[in-house]
Amino acid sequence: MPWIVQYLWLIALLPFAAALITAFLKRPLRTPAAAIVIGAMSISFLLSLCALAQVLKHGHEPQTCNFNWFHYGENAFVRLGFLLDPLSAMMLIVVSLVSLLVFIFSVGYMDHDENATRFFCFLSLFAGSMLALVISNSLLLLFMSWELVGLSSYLLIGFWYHKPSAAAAMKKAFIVTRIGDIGFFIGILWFYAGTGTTLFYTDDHQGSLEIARLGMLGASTALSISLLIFCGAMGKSGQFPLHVWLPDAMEGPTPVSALIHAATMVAAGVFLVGRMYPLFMVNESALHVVAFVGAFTALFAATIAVAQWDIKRILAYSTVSQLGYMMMGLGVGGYVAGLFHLFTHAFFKALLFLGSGSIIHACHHEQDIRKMGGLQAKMHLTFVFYGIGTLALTGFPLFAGFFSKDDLLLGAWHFHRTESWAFYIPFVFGLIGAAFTAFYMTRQVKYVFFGKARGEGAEHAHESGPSMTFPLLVLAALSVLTGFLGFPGHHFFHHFLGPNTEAHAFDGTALSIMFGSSILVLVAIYSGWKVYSGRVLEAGATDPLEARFPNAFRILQNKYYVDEFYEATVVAFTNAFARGVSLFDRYVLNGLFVLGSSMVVYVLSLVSQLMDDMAINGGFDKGCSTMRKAAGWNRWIQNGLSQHYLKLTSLGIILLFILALYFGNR
Amino acid sequence: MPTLSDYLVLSAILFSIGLAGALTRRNTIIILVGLEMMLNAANINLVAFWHFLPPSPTGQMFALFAIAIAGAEAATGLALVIAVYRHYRSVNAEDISNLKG
Amino acid sequence: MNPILEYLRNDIITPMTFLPCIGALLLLFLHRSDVRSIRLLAFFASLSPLLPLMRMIQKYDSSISSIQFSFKAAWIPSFHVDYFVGVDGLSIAMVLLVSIITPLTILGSFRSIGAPEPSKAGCKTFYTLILLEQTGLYGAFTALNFFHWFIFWEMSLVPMFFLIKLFGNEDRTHAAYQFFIYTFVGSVAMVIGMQFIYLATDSWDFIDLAKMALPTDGVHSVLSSKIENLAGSIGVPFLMNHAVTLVFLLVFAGFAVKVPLWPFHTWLPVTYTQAPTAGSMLLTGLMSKMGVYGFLRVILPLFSPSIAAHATTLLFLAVATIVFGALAAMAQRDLKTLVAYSSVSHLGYCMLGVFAVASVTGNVNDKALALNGVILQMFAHGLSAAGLFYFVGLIEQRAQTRALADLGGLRKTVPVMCGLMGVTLFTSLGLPGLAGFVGEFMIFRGAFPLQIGFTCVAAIGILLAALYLLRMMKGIFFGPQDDKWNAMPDLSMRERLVSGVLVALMFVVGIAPGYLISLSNSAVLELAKIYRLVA
Repeated sequence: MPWIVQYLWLIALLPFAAALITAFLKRPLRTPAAAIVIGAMSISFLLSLCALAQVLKHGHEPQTCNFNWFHYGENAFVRLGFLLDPLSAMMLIVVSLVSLLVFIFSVGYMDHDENATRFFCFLSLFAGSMLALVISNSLLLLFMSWELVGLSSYLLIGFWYHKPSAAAAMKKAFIVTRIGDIGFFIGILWFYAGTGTTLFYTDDHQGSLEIARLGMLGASTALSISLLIFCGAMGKSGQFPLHVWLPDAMEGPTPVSALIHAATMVAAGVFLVGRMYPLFMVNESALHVVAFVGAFTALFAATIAVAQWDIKRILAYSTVSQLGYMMMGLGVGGYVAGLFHLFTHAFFKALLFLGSGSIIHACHHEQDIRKMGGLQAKMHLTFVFYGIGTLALTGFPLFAGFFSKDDLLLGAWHFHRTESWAFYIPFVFGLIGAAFTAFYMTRQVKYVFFGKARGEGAEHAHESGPSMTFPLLVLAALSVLTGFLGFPGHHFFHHFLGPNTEAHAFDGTALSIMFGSSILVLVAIYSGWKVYSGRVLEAGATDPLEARFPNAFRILQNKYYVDEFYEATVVAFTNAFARGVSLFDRYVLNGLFVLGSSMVVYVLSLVSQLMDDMAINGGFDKGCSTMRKAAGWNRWIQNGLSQHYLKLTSLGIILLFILALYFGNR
Repeated sequence: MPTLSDYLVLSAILFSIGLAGALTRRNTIIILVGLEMMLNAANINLVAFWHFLPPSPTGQMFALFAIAIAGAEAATGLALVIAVYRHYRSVNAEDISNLKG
Repeated sequence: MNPILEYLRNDIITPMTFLPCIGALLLLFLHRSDVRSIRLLAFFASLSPLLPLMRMIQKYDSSISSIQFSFKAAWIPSFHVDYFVGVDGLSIAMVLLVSIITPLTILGSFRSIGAPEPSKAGCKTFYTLILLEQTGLYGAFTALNFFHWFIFWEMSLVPMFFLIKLFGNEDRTHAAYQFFIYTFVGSVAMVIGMQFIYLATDSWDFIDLAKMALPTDGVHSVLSSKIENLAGSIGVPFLMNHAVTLVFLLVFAGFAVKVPLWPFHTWLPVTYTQAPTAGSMLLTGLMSKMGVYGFLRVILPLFSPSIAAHATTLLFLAVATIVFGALAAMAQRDLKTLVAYSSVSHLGYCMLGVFAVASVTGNVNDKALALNGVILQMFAHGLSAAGLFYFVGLIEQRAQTRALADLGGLRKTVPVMCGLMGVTLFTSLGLPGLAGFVGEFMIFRGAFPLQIGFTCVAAIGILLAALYLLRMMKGIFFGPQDDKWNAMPDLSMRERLVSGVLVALMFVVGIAPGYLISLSNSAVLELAKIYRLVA
């Protein structure tokens, strides 16, 4: 076994260890904390590079390192393990690189926060669990890291816990993802029970995925398990209808949003579907569900983003939408396309979030784009990098998003079937979504960088320091370059990740889709540019869309009232049910049942007391009082005077004498 | 020569005087004196019977014993009277009625 | 050889059981105002069983399933009553738990022993009661003769009654009586059932009875035919036909109240809320385990056909315990009641595992996994629930309130408490890497192939646990903080020690549960195999 496979666990353990050490550091020790965390992360990154090199050198076969967690029953074991294959190698690079950059960015971003030490601790905990998630060779270990990732997300969303909105958001994030996790958990139980092992791959090809791939589970069981596992992915990756937590998660510090709620953790759902792909492929219906959910989410979230004012919320809905694209990509059978988009998206979305962090930091924590403006002149570097990120996200030709989105749309096109028009839906939704994406990003850039400063913060904004601009630089470079890994016709990524899957030929159809979508994006950018220029960017002006379509804008701004709907139905029902159960406990079970039976006992005891009083005590008492009376009469004998006693004694003796004399003579 | 019954009558008279004293007087010390008289009446009886009945030393021995015990009894009795006096500040028998039921 | 040494060589359990009791006796010689010595003596007395326990752990052979370190002496021969102690895989984890939780409880209550006793007056009584309780618990987990065992079972009830009655909160008298009478009614039912078994078999011995109860043709066993014979001699047709079921229900009632199983749980929230912190810790950490242990030791081996016949009803009760307990916890405003209901819900998982094992089909390994999970869950819940009550007690002591609505934002002033209590909450919530997850996973994984429907419904409990525990976390530690809590002191060194030990154990069990599972595996496997004989 190559050393890197054997020591793969070190990649995850180092950040965990760093988190443990920083957990014990006192508040003022922020610099050592940052140093420890960044140091551990750098080593993890280097090890990830070694892992990548190993995969490139030795091909695509999964290499595993398994161990027994514990033993039970008759020679049964629960086994865990670590896995190195192209998918985990790719994820290792993404997670460790973005984490490293975000850690460096945080040094600048959090320099005024008194709890920075704790912040680095949580970040490191997150990185460790995320790395463990991507290298786990066991569904159980994956679920364990999955939950730990959820925990660190919870802690980081609520990092500014004193804000009520943050306190609510952290709880919401954990609970909503946990709803999906219940399905995931049951799926794990079923998959484990069905295949008899938690391991994905083993040396003797008896891993659960290998068993599943052979179709040994049966198509309907495979479908049920896939859908249950997809529940977990929907929760984590913010797919409709479990997307509600992700925009609220923006309450956390911006580096957190960049790392966890844009680049890595939310992609874990997509990764999970990718990891379980052999299972999903057993029954095509599972993939269809994934495709439709993804396509719907992609369009749904993109429309909401058009009407938001908070710079981070726009990006959050954009993330939800892009995650929908990835899911759609996986669902339509484009295994590589979905994961390729995950790869490129991680970099440009991290760039956008860190860029927005830089802006927010410069504007003294102002997040409303209506109060920004004119930052182009004051923050050159940030503007350039943010622009690159925007172009990559919108799918502007030759930027990273262009290639990956194109792959997705191509896959969605080939998804169509002759049986039903419904199979065109992913393609159509994807196309419209792309136009919306280009539009809302242009709107945002125009609001933030152009026109005049409309707020206190924006007026005094200045460029951020090098610890913040350096990560932006690296990410910007990656946002431009990574796309070329998937250059049509010379698809390196495809050869790397899925050499066994069939690539769609780069033919006339592909070329026309590419041109069509590019033109659509360019038109959307142009119209966005036109709509949001001139007087619109002055202070106090209303959004032109709001002016034109006030009702539609209000619905979008309120996110289709999904939150309100949940509040009124699911939440209200659960709370009412809980209260009902509590009252049932107090009044029916404890009241009627327990106190009722004790009342019966009490009444019985009253009856028996009455019986006692009347029948038994009555006779007894009478006897007692008679005796008492008799005793009272006889009392005078005992008057306590010894002479008196003596008198009585003498009388008695005399009496005895008389008797003796009288009777004795006879 | 006095006969046995003379002695017995004397003893009975003495005993009755003693009993009367013990029962009627309030002063505890006089009561004790009464008791002592009753004891000595009994002694006279004993000695008289010894003298008039066939020879056996029992009666005389009994009388001697009774005298010795009477001495001890007088001592104990007086000690009790003193103790009672200390406690109740009185030697009046009627004041001491703690045994009253 | 010295006879005392000779005896000690043979019997480790009796000294372990009675060391705390001796400590309680020594405590009586101290003057009541000498609080410092009382505390130290009580602490070391409760710690002293660790010495015999360590030897026991060292010599324990996890590969054999039968009773180890057994010691048997005739006690009342005419009634077949023996003094019979011993441990096996079912009980050793619980003995370990008693030895860990009780000293921590005593250490944790050094400063404050109960709500109405801010002074030091009741100190001596308080620690004496806790030490007696410890002896009772050891006895209840190690005695193997019903008569002998029942004495300890009730003995653990009495000190707890006085702990609640004397040191509890505002409504303590009512709670103490309800606790005592409710559980006592259950015990009486159990005694009647066991009497019947004794009359039929002339044996009180759990091990003998278990051997007699092995099903010979799927439904009947030596035990059941003896019970039926006895019932037949009474001459009432109803009794004759349902004798085994009636006996089962009587014994079941005793344990079901103790666990408690829905709908017999209503004594629990009142009791846990009104008990002093130490009382709640002992109640939830240790005494609630006595019920589950009873199921493993008595119900599962003795009544295998009955439990298999009623499996659906019993599983419904277990799932109701999980879900309704969790829902009721969601609606609570009082921290202690909330934790009490969470305790109900978590013990429901144990009952799910126990009843799922009674399924007729299924493979032995799944059943063994579920039962191992039950024991691990008992251990994990002992740590986390005792920890939660401890923290709630600390908050109550500092804030003089238990209402969730009065608190908030405390993370700012008490960060260490927030961190440690957070770990405890997440253990309770079943976060992987902490003790709670392993037990839950094993139970669910074991029960899933046996009872798919019930297991899936029970999984809702996991979600609800997140709901109420995070609500609690948010209510106490997050959000804006009231200025009146600014001066609240963070954990002292002693409090850090108590909670630190608990938290460290949660991590150890959560990451490396292998050792604990190996302790119980053989015995549990033997138990699971019984159900291969049931039709």
